[in-house]
Amino acid sequence: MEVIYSIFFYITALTVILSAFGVVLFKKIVYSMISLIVCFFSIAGIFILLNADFVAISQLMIYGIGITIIMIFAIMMTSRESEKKLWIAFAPRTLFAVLTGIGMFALIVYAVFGCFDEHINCVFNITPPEIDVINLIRQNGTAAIIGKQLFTTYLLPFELISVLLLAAILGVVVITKKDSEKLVNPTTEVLEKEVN
Amino acid sequence: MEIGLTHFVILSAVLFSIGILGLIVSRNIIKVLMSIEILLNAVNINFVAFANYTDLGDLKGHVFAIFIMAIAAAEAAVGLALLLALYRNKPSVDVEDYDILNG
Repeated sequence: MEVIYSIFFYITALTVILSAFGVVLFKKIVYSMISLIVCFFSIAGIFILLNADFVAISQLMIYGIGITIIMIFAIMMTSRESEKKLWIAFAPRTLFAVLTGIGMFALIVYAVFGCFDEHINCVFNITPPEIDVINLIRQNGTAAIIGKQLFTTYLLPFELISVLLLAAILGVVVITKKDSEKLVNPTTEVLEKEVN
Repeated sequence: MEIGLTHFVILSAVLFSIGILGLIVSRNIIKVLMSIEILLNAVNINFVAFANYTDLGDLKGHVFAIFIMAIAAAEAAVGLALLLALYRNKPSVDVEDYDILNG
């Protein structure tokens, strides 16, 4: 059982990391997009390994399908023949980015292996999840617990999120509306002033 | 070796570093937005891992992960709408071409 869990974890983690590198390093933007879809789906696999079925299905529905479709639409509406050559920038900031990434990773690894095991117990009370709790969650699913939390403890953030989504919908419609004589797109106005 | 919390934290760190690399390095605006999604996914893995190993009764980390997903969806929609509005005025997706935006 433990061996099967380990094998699944390593396969899924390898897929996540390779596809994330693919997003950054592929030359064509459509290939990056396909790689991002693979990355999202394998992250849903990681969530399933962590006993989080509701979050995994939300990941598939929101990231794997919703955001993906929006991005594919954006790619299809903006890509032209001449822009397929855009790849990573060979500027001083590339070196800065590589150093930042490696440095942050080294810092986290140092933190995890250096003082994680001694000090984390006083902060987080890490114990491996007990087998009867895991069995209860695997039998009933996590949706009931999450729903109860959403409507009692986190009711105010939940309502604020709904207002935020409404504002995002209205904002997207206003921003992408075509220009007419009566309604001027604010970004167009600013850019025209800049040019003139 | 038994899979523990540290494995998931390391995986999240790798994913976060790749996201930062792509955020700074890439020249295509859509790729920058993809890198932001990778960053948010790394944070989600951290939240769910800590919820699994410390807080399996209340699952607060799952609730936070779902909030992050909702905000990421709104962010992706608004970001891509801004990109389309910009593209209508200046037909390019090169980051270097938008230095007009820095005021």
